[in-house]
Amino acid sequence: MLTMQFDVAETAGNGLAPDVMIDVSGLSKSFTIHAQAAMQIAALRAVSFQLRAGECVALTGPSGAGKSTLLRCIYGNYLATCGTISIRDRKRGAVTVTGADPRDIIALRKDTIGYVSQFLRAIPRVGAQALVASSLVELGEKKEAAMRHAAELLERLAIPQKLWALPPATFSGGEQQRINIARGLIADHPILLLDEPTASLDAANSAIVSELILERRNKGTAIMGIFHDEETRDRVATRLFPLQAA
Amino acid sequence: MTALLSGRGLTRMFDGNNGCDHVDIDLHPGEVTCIVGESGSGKTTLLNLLSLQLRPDAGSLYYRTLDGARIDLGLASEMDRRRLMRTEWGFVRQNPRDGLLRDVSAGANISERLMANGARHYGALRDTAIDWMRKVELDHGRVDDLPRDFSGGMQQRLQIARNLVTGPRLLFMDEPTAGLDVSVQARLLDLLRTLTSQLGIAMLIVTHDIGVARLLAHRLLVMHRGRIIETGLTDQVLDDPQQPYTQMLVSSVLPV
Repeated sequence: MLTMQFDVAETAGNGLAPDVMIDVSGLSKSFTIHAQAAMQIAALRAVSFQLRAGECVALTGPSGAGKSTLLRCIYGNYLATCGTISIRDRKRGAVTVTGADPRDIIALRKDTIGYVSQFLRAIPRVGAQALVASSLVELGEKKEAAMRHAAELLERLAIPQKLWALPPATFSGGEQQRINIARGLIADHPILLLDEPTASLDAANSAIVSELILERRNKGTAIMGIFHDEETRDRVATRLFPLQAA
Repeated sequence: MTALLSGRGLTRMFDGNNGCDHVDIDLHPGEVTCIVGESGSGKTTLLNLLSLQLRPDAGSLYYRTLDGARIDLGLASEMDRRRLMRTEWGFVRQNPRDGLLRDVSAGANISERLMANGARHYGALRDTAIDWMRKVELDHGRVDDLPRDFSGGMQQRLQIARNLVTGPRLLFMDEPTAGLDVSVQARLLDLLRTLTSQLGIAMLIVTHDIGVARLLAHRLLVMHRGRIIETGLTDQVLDDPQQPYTQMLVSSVLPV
Protein backbone atom coordinates (compact mmCIF):
# COMPACT_ATOMS: atom_id res chain seq x y z
CA MET A 1 0.00 0.00 0.00
CA LEU A 2 2.67 2.45 0.98
CA THR A 3 6.41 2.08 0.86
CA MET A 4 7.82 3.55 4.02
CA GLN A 5 10.76 5.75 3.21
CA PHE A 6 12.40 5.52 6.57
CA ASP A 7 14.39 2.78 8.12
CA VAL A 8 12.73 1.45 11.23
CA ALA A 9 14.76 -0.69 13.56
CA GLU A 10 12.36 -3.28 14.96
CA THR A 11 13.84 -3.62 18.41
CA ALA A 12 11.17 -3.88 21.06
CA GLY A 13 12.36 -1.72 23.94
CA ASN A 14 11.63 -4.34 26.55
CA GLY A 15 15.00 -3.85 28.15
CA LEU A 16 14.22 -0.49 29.79
CA ALA A 17 15.84 -0.19 33.23
CA PRO A 18 13.20 0.22 35.96
CA ASP A 19 13.28 4.00 36.29
CA VAL A 20 13.98 4.80 32.61
CA MET A 21 10.93 6.46 31.07
CA ILE A 22 12.33 7.34 27.64
CA ASP A 23 15.18 5.64 25.80
CA VAL A 24 16.38 7.28 22.59
CA SER A 25 19.02 5.41 20.65
CA GLY A 26 20.82 6.59 17.51
CA LEU A 27 17.97 8.89 16.53
CA SER A 28 18.40 10.81 13.29
CA LYS A 29 15.86 12.97 11.58
CA SER A 30 16.12 14.63 8.22
CA PHE A 31 13.47 16.35 6.14
CA THR A 32 13.20 15.88 2.39
CA ILE A 33 11.74 18.98 0.72
CA HIS A 34 10.34 17.72 -2.57
CA ALA A 35 9.43 21.19 -3.84
CA GLN A 36 13.16 22.04 -3.64
CA ALA A 37 14.45 19.17 -5.80
CA ALA A 38 14.32 16.73 -2.86
CA MET A 39 16.64 18.88 -0.78
CA GLN A 40 17.69 17.14 2.44
CA ILE A 41 17.68 19.06 5.71
CA ALA A 42 19.34 17.23 8.57
CA ALA A 43 17.75 18.13 11.91
CA LEU A 44 19.07 15.47 14.29
CA ARG A 45 22.08 13.19 13.90
CA ALA A 46 22.60 10.05 16.02
CA VAL A 47 21.06 11.37 19.24
CA SER A 48 21.04 8.97 22.19
CA PHE A 49 19.94 9.53 25.79
CA GLN A 50 17.77 8.22 28.58
CA LEU A 51 15.26 10.14 30.64
CA ARG A 52 14.50 8.87 34.14
CA ALA A 53 11.59 9.40 36.50
CA GLY A 54 12.00 12.54 38.61
CA GLU A 55 14.45 14.16 36.18
CA CYS A 56 13.94 17.41 34.32
CA VAL A 57 16.28 17.59 31.34
CA ALA A 58 16.62 20.94 29.59
CA LEU A 59 17.49 20.75 25.89
CA THR A 60 19.97 23.44 24.97
CA GLY A 61 21.67 24.53 21.78
CA PRO A 62 21.34 27.19 19.11
CA SER A 63 18.21 27.76 17.11
CA GLY A 64 18.04 25.04 14.45
CA ALA A 65 19.82 22.47 16.62
CA GLY A 66 16.70 20.27 16.53
CA LYS A 67 15.34 20.79 20.05
CA SER A 68 11.67 21.00 19.03
CA THR A 69 12.23 18.28 16.42
CA LEU A 70 13.46 15.93 19.14
CA LEU A 71 10.37 16.54 21.29
CA ARG A 72 8.11 16.05 18.27
CA CYS A 73 9.81 12.75 17.36
CA ILE A 74 9.27 11.49 20.91
CA TYR A 75 5.62 12.56 20.76
CA GLY A 76 5.14 10.71 17.45
CA ASN A 77 4.39 13.93 15.60
CA TYR A 78 7.50 13.57 13.40
CA LEU A 79 8.72 10.30 11.92
CA ALA A 80 12.25 9.28 12.85
CA THR A 81 14.55 8.77 9.86
CA CYS A 82 16.49 6.13 11.76
CA GLY A 83 17.10 5.04 15.33
CA THR A 84 14.64 3.97 18.01
CA ILE A 85 12.58 5.68 20.69
CA SER A 86 11.16 3.53 23.48
CA ILE A 87 8.75 4.80 26.10
CA ARG A 88 7.57 3.24 29.32
CA ASP A 89 3.80 3.28 28.99
CA ARG A 90 1.60 3.46 32.07
CA LYS A 91 -0.34 0.35 31.03
CA ARG A 92 1.62 -1.53 28.39
CA GLY A 93 5.23 -1.42 29.57
CA ALA A 94 7.88 -0.47 27.00
CA VAL A 95 6.41 0.79 23.71
CA THR A 96 8.53 1.51 20.65
CA VAL A 97 7.36 4.80 19.16
CA THR A 98 9.37 4.46 15.96
CA GLY A 99 7.29 2.42 13.53
CA ALA A 100 4.25 2.28 15.86
CA ASP A 101 0.71 2.17 14.52
CA PRO A 102 -1.29 5.42 14.92
CA ARG A 103 -3.55 3.85 17.54
CA ASP A 104 -0.54 2.97 19.71
CA ILE A 105 0.68 6.57 19.56
CA ILE A 106 -2.82 7.81 20.44
CA ALA A 107 -2.90 5.46 23.44
CA LEU A 108 0.57 6.61 24.55
CA ARG A 109 -0.53 10.23 24.39
CA LYS A 110 -3.68 9.50 26.33
CA ASP A 111 -2.09 7.52 29.14
CA THR A 112 1.55 8.46 29.33
CA ILE A 113 2.85 11.57 27.55
CA GLY A 114 1.76 15.14 28.23
CA TYR A 115 2.97 17.66 25.68
CA VAL A 116 2.86 21.42 25.91
CA SER A 117 3.47 22.95 22.49
CA GLN A 118 4.23 26.61 21.83
CA PHE A 119 0.85 27.23 20.28
CA LEU A 120 -2.60 26.28 21.41
CA ARG A 121 -4.77 24.42 18.94
CA ALA A 122 -8.27 25.46 19.96
CA ILE A 123 -11.36 23.42 19.10
CA PRO A 124 -14.38 25.34 17.77
CA ARG A 125 -17.09 25.92 20.35
CA VAL A 126 -15.18 24.30 23.24
CA GLY A 127 -14.61 26.62 26.20
CA ALA A 128 -11.24 26.95 27.98
CA GLN A 129 -12.23 25.00 31.08
CA ALA A 130 -13.83 22.15 29.09
CA LEU A 131 -10.79 22.05 26.80
CA VAL A 132 -8.47 21.66 29.79
CA ALA A 133 -10.77 19.06 31.36
CA SER A 134 -11.01 17.00 28.18
CA SER A 135 -7.72 15.10 28.59
CA LEU A 136 -8.89 13.91 32.01
CA VAL A 137 -12.32 12.95 30.66
CA GLU A 138 -10.57 10.88 27.97
CA LEU A 139 -8.82 8.97 30.74
CA GLY A 140 -12.22 8.05 32.15
CA GLU A 141 -12.58 10.72 34.85
CA LYS A 142 -16.14 11.94 35.50
CA LYS A 143 -16.98 15.22 33.75
CA GLU A 144 -17.76 17.12 36.98
CA ALA A 145 -14.55 16.04 38.71
CA ALA A 146 -12.49 16.87 35.60
CA MET A 147 -14.09 20.32 35.38
CA ARG A 148 -13.34 20.94 39.06
CA HIS A 149 -9.74 19.91 38.59
CA ALA A 150 -9.50 22.16 35.50
CA ALA A 151 -10.90 25.08 37.54
CA GLU A 152 -8.20 24.61 40.20
CA LEU A 153 -5.46 24.68 37.57
CA LEU A 154 -6.89 27.70 35.75
CA GLU A 155 -7.16 29.52 39.05
CA ARG A 156 -3.56 28.72 39.90
CA LEU A 157 -2.47 29.94 36.49
CA ALA A 158 -4.33 33.21 37.12
CA ILE A 159 -6.78 32.89 34.23
CA PRO A 160 -9.72 35.23 35.06
CA GLN A 161 -12.83 33.18 35.81
CA LYS A 162 -14.92 35.15 33.32
CA LEU A 163 -12.86 33.57 30.51
CA TRP A 164 -13.34 29.94 31.54
CA ALA A 165 -16.47 29.32 29.50
CA LEU A 166 -15.14 31.00 26.35
CA PRO A 167 -13.32 29.20 23.52
CA PRO A 168 -9.68 30.36 23.82
CA ALA A 169 -9.20 31.18 20.12
CA THR A 170 -9.58 34.90 20.88
CA PHE A 171 -7.45 34.94 24.08
CA SER A 172 -4.13 36.79 24.29
CA GLY A 173 -0.90 34.88 23.59
CA GLY A 174 -0.05 34.59 27.29
CA GLU A 175 -3.53 33.38 28.18
CA GLN A 176 -3.51 30.77 25.41
CA GLN A 177 -0.10 29.60 26.58
CA ARG A 178 -1.39 29.09 30.12
CA ILE A 179 -4.48 27.21 28.84
CA ASN A 180 -2.05 25.01 26.92
CA ILE A 181 -0.01 24.37 30.06
CA ALA A 182 -3.12 23.52 32.09
CA ARG A 183 -4.16 21.16 29.32
CA GLY A 184 -0.77 19.45 29.28
CA LEU A 185 -0.51 19.08 33.07
CA ILE A 186 -4.02 18.11 34.13
CA ALA A 187 -3.82 14.39 33.40
CA ASP A 188 -0.71 13.83 35.58
CA HIS A 189 1.09 11.96 32.83
CA PRO A 190 4.30 10.21 33.94
CA ILE A 191 6.16 11.93 31.07
CA LEU A 192 6.00 15.64 30.21
CA LEU A 193 7.42 17.26 27.08
CA LEU A 194 7.54 21.06 27.29
CA ASP A 195 8.31 23.22 24.26
CA GLU A 196 9.05 26.69 25.64
CA PRO A 197 6.18 26.66 28.14
CA THR A 198 7.01 30.15 29.44
CA ALA A 199 7.88 31.83 26.12
CA SER A 200 5.07 34.38 26.12
CA LEU A 201 4.61 34.79 29.87
CA ASP A 202 5.58 37.65 32.19
CA ALA A 203 7.84 37.06 35.21
CA ALA A 204 4.99 36.46 37.67
CA ASN A 205 3.28 33.88 35.46
CA SER A 206 6.62 32.23 34.58
CA ALA A 207 7.22 31.76 38.29
CA ILE A 208 3.82 30.06 38.71
CA VAL A 209 4.59 27.70 35.82
CA SER A 210 8.06 26.91 37.22
CA GLU A 211 6.45 26.02 40.51
CA LEU A 212 3.97 23.66 38.81
CA ILE A 213 6.81 21.98 36.89
CA LEU A 214 8.83 21.55 40.09
CA GLU A 215 5.86 19.95 41.84
CA ARG A 216 5.57 17.43 39.03
CA ARG A 217 9.29 16.72 39.07
CA ASN A 218 9.24 16.10 42.81
CA LYS A 219 6.33 13.69 42.36
CA GLY A 220 8.51 11.62 39.98
CA THR A 221 7.35 12.84 36.58
CA ALA A 222 10.03 12.53 33.89
CA ILE A 223 10.29 15.93 32.20
CA MET A 224 12.12 17.07 29.08
CA GLY A 225 11.83 20.64 27.92
CA ILE A 226 13.09 23.63 26.03
CA PHE A 227 13.40 26.68 28.28
CA HIS A 228 14.81 29.78 26.65
CA ASP A 229 14.27 31.78 29.79
CA GLU A 230 17.42 31.03 31.85
CA GLU A 231 15.81 31.76 35.17
CA THR A 232 13.10 29.16 34.55
CA ARG A 233 15.70 26.68 33.29
CA ASP A 234 17.88 27.10 36.39
CA ARG A 235 14.89 26.61 38.66
CA VAL A 236 13.43 23.48 37.08
CA ALA A 237 16.22 21.55 35.30
CA THR A 238 18.19 18.75 36.96
CA ARG A 239 20.62 18.58 34.03
CA LEU A 240 21.23 20.00 30.58
CA PHE A 241 21.35 18.07 27.31
CA PRO A 242 23.12 20.12 24.64
CA LEU A 243 22.26 19.57 20.98
CA GLN A 244 24.48 20.73 18.12
CA ALA A 245 23.21 21.58 14.67
CA ALA A 246 23.23 18.32 12.66
CA MET B 1 -6.96 -4.98 17.46
CA THR B 2 -8.61 -6.56 14.46
CA ALA B 3 -10.11 -4.51 11.68
CA LEU B 4 -13.86 -4.15 11.28
CA LEU B 5 -13.70 -3.69 7.52
CA SER B 6 -10.72 -4.50 5.31
CA GLY B 7 -10.26 -3.84 1.62
CA ARG B 8 -7.54 -5.67 -0.29
CA GLY B 9 -6.50 -4.73 -3.80
CA LEU B 10 -9.73 -2.79 -4.36
CA THR B 11 -9.86 -1.64 -7.95
CA ARG B 12 -12.51 0.13 -9.97
CA MET B 13 -11.45 2.22 -12.92
CA PHE B 14 -13.45 4.62 -15.05
CA ASP B 15 -12.28 5.51 -18.57
CA GLY B 16 -9.09 3.58 -17.92
CA ASN B 17 -7.44 6.13 -15.62
CA ASN B 18 -9.84 7.56 -13.06
CA GLY B 19 -11.01 5.64 -9.99
CA CYS B 20 -9.43 3.38 -7.46
CA ASP B 21 -6.32 1.36 -8.18
CA HIS B 22 -5.32 -1.62 -5.96
CA VAL B 23 -6.15 -0.02 -2.62
CA ASP B 24 -5.54 -1.80 0.70
CA ILE B 25 -7.35 -0.29 3.67
CA ASP B 26 -8.37 -1.26 7.22
CA LEU B 27 -11.05 0.45 9.32
CA HIS B 28 -10.92 -0.16 13.07
CA PRO B 29 -13.59 0.13 15.79
CA GLY B 30 -13.47 3.46 17.63
CA GLU B 31 -11.24 5.01 15.00
CA VAL B 32 -12.04 7.94 12.72
CA THR B 33 -10.26 7.65 9.37
CA CYS B 34 -10.19 10.53 6.91
CA ILE B 35 -9.41 10.25 3.22
CA VAL B 36 -8.05 13.48 1.76
CA GLY B 37 -7.07 14.24 -1.81
CA GLU B 38 -8.10 16.45 -4.69
CA SER B 39 -11.15 15.99 -6.92
CA GLY B 40 -10.68 12.98 -9.16
CA SER B 41 -8.17 11.31 -6.84
CA GLY B 42 -10.54 8.38 -6.34
CA LYS B 43 -11.58 9.06 -2.75
CA THR B 44 -15.32 8.92 -3.38
CA THR B 45 -14.90 5.79 -5.52
CA LEU B 46 -13.09 4.15 -2.60
CA LEU B 47 -15.86 5.22 -0.22
CA ASN B 48 -18.48 3.74 -2.55
CA LEU B 49 -16.55 0.48 -2.94
CA LEU B 50 -16.17 0.09 0.82
CA SER B 51 -19.82 0.89 1.50
CA LEU B 52 -21.07 -1.60 -1.13
CA GLN B 53 -22.57 1.08 -3.38
CA LEU B 54 -20.17 0.07 -6.12
CA ARG B 55 -18.84 -3.33 -7.19
CA PRO B 56 -15.08 -3.56 -7.65
CA ASP B 57 -13.47 -4.72 -10.91
CA ALA B 58 -11.00 -6.57 -8.70
CA GLY B 59 -10.15 -6.93 -5.04
CA SER B 60 -11.84 -8.19 -1.89
CA LEU B 61 -13.72 -6.74 1.03
CA TYR B 62 -13.80 -8.46 4.42
CA TYR B 63 -16.07 -7.64 7.36
CA ARG B 64 -15.85 -8.72 10.99
CA THR B 65 -19.36 -9.67 12.11
CA LEU B 66 -20.71 -9.12 15.64
CA ASP B 67 -19.85 -12.71 16.60
CA GLY B 68 -16.24 -12.19 15.48
CA ALA B 69 -16.38 -14.13 12.18
CA ARG B 70 -14.63 -12.67 9.15
CA ILE B 71 -16.81 -12.73 6.05
CA ASP B 72 -16.00 -12.00 2.42
CA LEU B 73 -18.57 -9.39 1.40
CA GLY B 74 -17.99 -10.16 -2.27
CA LEU B 75 -19.49 -13.60 -1.64
CA ALA B 76 -22.27 -12.45 0.71
CA SER B 77 -25.86 -12.66 -0.49
CA GLU B 78 -27.63 -9.49 -1.58
CA MET B 79 -29.94 -9.91 1.43
CA ASP B 80 -27.01 -9.99 3.87
CA ARG B 81 -25.42 -6.98 2.20
CA ARG B 82 -28.68 -5.00 2.46
CA ARG B 83 -29.15 -5.98 6.09
CA LEU B 84 -25.63 -4.75 6.92
CA MET B 85 -26.18 -1.44 5.16
CA ARG B 86 -29.49 -0.92 6.94
CA THR B 87 -28.48 -1.89 10.47
CA GLU B 88 -24.76 -2.05 11.18
CA TRP B 89 -23.65 0.68 8.77
CA GLY B 90 -24.68 4.26 8.17
CA PHE B 91 -24.05 6.56 5.23
CA VAL B 92 -24.18 10.36 5.56
CA ARG B 93 -24.24 11.94 2.13
CA GLN B 94 -22.75 15.23 1.05
CA ASN B 95 -26.12 16.54 -0.03
CA PRO B 96 -28.79 15.93 2.64
CA ARG B 97 -31.38 15.73 -0.13
CA ASP B 98 -29.79 12.42 -1.19
CA GLY B 99 -29.82 11.03 2.32
CA LEU B 100 -33.26 12.06 3.56
CA LEU B 101 -36.79 11.05 2.58
CA ARG B 102 -38.31 14.16 1.10
CA ASP B 103 -42.00 13.58 1.77
CA VAL B 104 -42.01 12.41 5.36
CA SER B 105 -41.44 14.26 8.62
CA ALA B 106 -38.14 14.66 10.48
CA GLY B 107 -39.36 12.12 13.03
CA ALA B 108 -40.27 9.58 10.36
CA ASN B 109 -36.89 10.09 8.71
CA ILE B 110 -35.19 9.19 11.97
CA SER B 111 -37.47 6.18 12.63
CA GLU B 112 -37.30 4.73 9.13
CA ARG B 113 -34.35 2.42 9.70
CA LEU B 114 -35.88 1.16 12.95
CA MET B 115 -39.14 0.39 11.13
CA ALA B 116 -37.26 -1.34 8.34
CA ASN B 117 -35.79 -3.57 11.04
CA GLY B 118 -39.25 -4.44 12.36
CA ALA B 119 -40.01 -1.83 15.04
CA ARG B 120 -43.73 -1.02 14.97
CA HIS B 121 -44.68 0.68 18.24
CA TYR B 122 -45.56 4.22 17.18
CA GLY B 123 -45.12 5.86 20.60
CA ALA B 124 -41.70 4.28 21.15
CA LEU B 125 -40.55 5.23 17.65
CA ARG B 126 -41.62 8.82 18.23
CA ASP B 127 -39.86 8.96 21.60
CA THR B 128 -36.67 7.63 20.03
CA ALA B 129 -36.92 10.21 17.23
CA ILE B 130 -37.36 13.03 19.76
CA ASP B 131 -34.45 11.73 21.81
CA TRP B 132 -32.20 11.73 18.74
CA MET B 133 -33.30 15.23 17.73
CA ARG B 134 -32.07 16.37 21.14
CA LYS B 135 -28.77 14.53 20.71
CA VAL B 136 -28.05 16.30 17.43
CA GLU B 137 -29.23 19.62 18.88
CA LEU B 138 -32.40 20.00 16.82
CA ASP B 139 -35.56 21.51 18.28
CA HIS B 140 -37.65 18.39 19.02
CA GLY B 141 -40.78 20.52 18.79
CA ARG B 142 -40.19 20.29 15.03
CA VAL B 143 -40.42 16.49 14.89
CA ASP B 144 -43.38 16.70 12.47
CA ASP B 145 -41.80 19.22 10.07
CA LEU B 146 -40.63 18.12 6.63
CA PRO B 147 -36.87 18.09 5.89
CA ARG B 148 -37.18 20.99 3.42
CA ASP B 149 -38.32 23.26 6.28
CA PHE B 150 -34.93 22.84 7.95
CA SER B 151 -31.72 24.74 7.04
CA GLY B 152 -28.82 22.94 5.34
CA GLY B 153 -26.88 22.46 8.57
CA MET B 154 -29.99 21.18 10.36
CA GLN B 155 -30.73 18.75 7.52
CA GLN B 156 -27.19 17.43 7.86
CA ARG B 157 -27.73 16.84 11.58
CA LEU B 158 -31.05 15.15 10.81
CA GLN B 159 -29.22 12.85 8.41
CA ILE B 160 -26.72 11.98 11.13
CA ALA B 161 -29.52 11.18 13.60
CA ARG B 162 -31.25 9.05 10.98
CA ASN B 163 -28.09 7.00 10.51
CA LEU B 164 -27.06 6.67 14.15
CA VAL B 165 -30.48 5.58 15.43
CA THR B 166 -29.79 1.88 14.81
CA GLY B 167 -26.49 2.07 16.71
CA PRO B 168 -24.30 1.32 13.68
CA ARG B 169 -20.76 -0.04 14.05
CA LEU B 170 -19.51 1.84 11.02
CA LEU B 171 -20.41 5.22 9.56
CA PHE B 172 -19.42 6.49 6.12
CA MET B 173 -19.49 10.21 5.42
CA ASP B 174 -18.94 11.94 2.11
CA GLU B 175 -17.87 15.59 2.54
CA PRO B 176 -20.25 16.09 5.48
CA THR B 177 -19.41 19.77 5.96
CA ALA B 178 -19.14 20.90 2.32
CA GLY B 179 -21.52 23.68 1.43
CA LEU B 180 -22.21 24.71 5.03
CA ASP B 181 -21.47 28.11 6.56
CA VAL B 182 -18.37 28.13 8.75
CA SER B 183 -20.32 28.61 12.01
CA VAL B 184 -22.68 25.78 11.06
CA GLN B 185 -19.67 23.62 10.15
CA ALA B 186 -18.14 24.18 13.58
CA ARG B 187 -21.34 23.03 15.27
CA LEU B 188 -21.55 19.92 13.10
CA LEU B 189 -17.89 19.09 13.69
CA ASP B 190 -18.31 19.53 17.43
CA LEU B 191 -21.30 17.19 17.33
CA LEU B 192 -19.43 14.56 15.30
CA ARG B 193 -16.41 14.77 17.59
CA THR B 194 -18.55 14.25 20.68
CA LEU B 195 -20.65 11.46 19.19
CA THR B 196 -17.67 9.49 17.90
CA SER B 197 -15.86 9.59 21.21
CA GLN B 198 -19.05 8.59 23.05
CA LEU B 199 -20.18 5.83 20.69
CA GLY B 200 -16.79 4.34 19.82
CA ILE B 201 -17.82 3.53 16.26
CA ALA B 202 -15.59 3.26 13.22
CA MET B 203 -15.94 6.17 10.85
CA LEU B 204 -14.67 6.85 7.37
CA ILE B 205 -14.88 10.46 6.21
CA VAL B 206 -14.04 11.70 2.74
CA THR B 207 -13.11 15.37 2.78
CA HIS B 208 -11.01 17.84 0.88
CA ASP B 209 -10.88 20.05 3.98
CA ILE B 210 -7.61 19.49 5.86
CA GLY B 211 -8.98 21.37 8.89
CA VAL B 212 -11.88 18.92 9.19
CA ALA B 213 -9.44 16.02 8.94
CA ARG B 214 -7.15 17.49 11.64
CA LEU B 215 -10.02 18.01 14.02
CA LEU B 216 -11.81 14.68 13.60
CA ALA B 217 -9.48 12.01 12.29
CA HIS B 218 -7.23 9.68 14.20
CA ARG B 219 -5.77 8.30 10.99
CA LEU B 220 -5.27 10.02 7.66
CA LEU B 221 -5.09 8.49 4.19
CA VAL B 222 -3.88 10.61 1.30
CA MET B 223 -5.15 9.60 -2.13
CA HIS B 224 -3.59 10.64 -5.40
CA ARG B 225 -4.41 9.27 -8.84
CA GLY B 226 -6.41 6.35 -7.50
CA ARG B 227 -3.85 5.17 -4.98
CA ILE B 228 -3.23 5.68 -1.28
CA ILE B 229 0.17 7.35 -1.34
CA GLU B 230 0.59 8.12 2.35
CA THR B 231 -1.03 7.09 5.60
CA GLY B 232 -0.45 7.62 9.31
CA LEU B 233 -1.42 9.41 12.49
CA THR B 234 -3.27 12.56 11.41
CA ASP B 235 -1.01 15.21 12.93
CA GLN B 236 2.10 13.30 11.85
CA VAL B 237 1.00 13.19 8.20
CA LEU B 238 0.05 16.88 8.28
CA ASP B 239 3.12 18.13 10.18
CA ASP B 240 5.74 15.79 8.67
CA PRO B 241 4.41 14.75 5.23
CA GLN B 242 6.75 12.42 3.33
CA GLN B 243 5.42 12.24 -0.22
CA PRO B 244 5.78 15.09 -2.73
CA TYR B 245 2.02 15.29 -3.33
CA THR B 246 1.22 15.36 0.43
CA GLN B 247 3.80 18.10 0.99
CA MET B 248 2.21 20.12 -1.77
CA LEU B 249 -1.30 19.50 -0.38
CA VAL B 250 -0.36 20.52 3.16
CA SER B 251 1.58 23.60 2.08
CA SER B 252 -1.36 24.77 -0.03
CA VAL B 253 -3.65 25.22 2.98
CA LEU B 254 -4.31 28.83 3.92
CA PRO B 255 -3.23 29.50 7.50
CA VAL B 256 -5.88 30.96 9.80
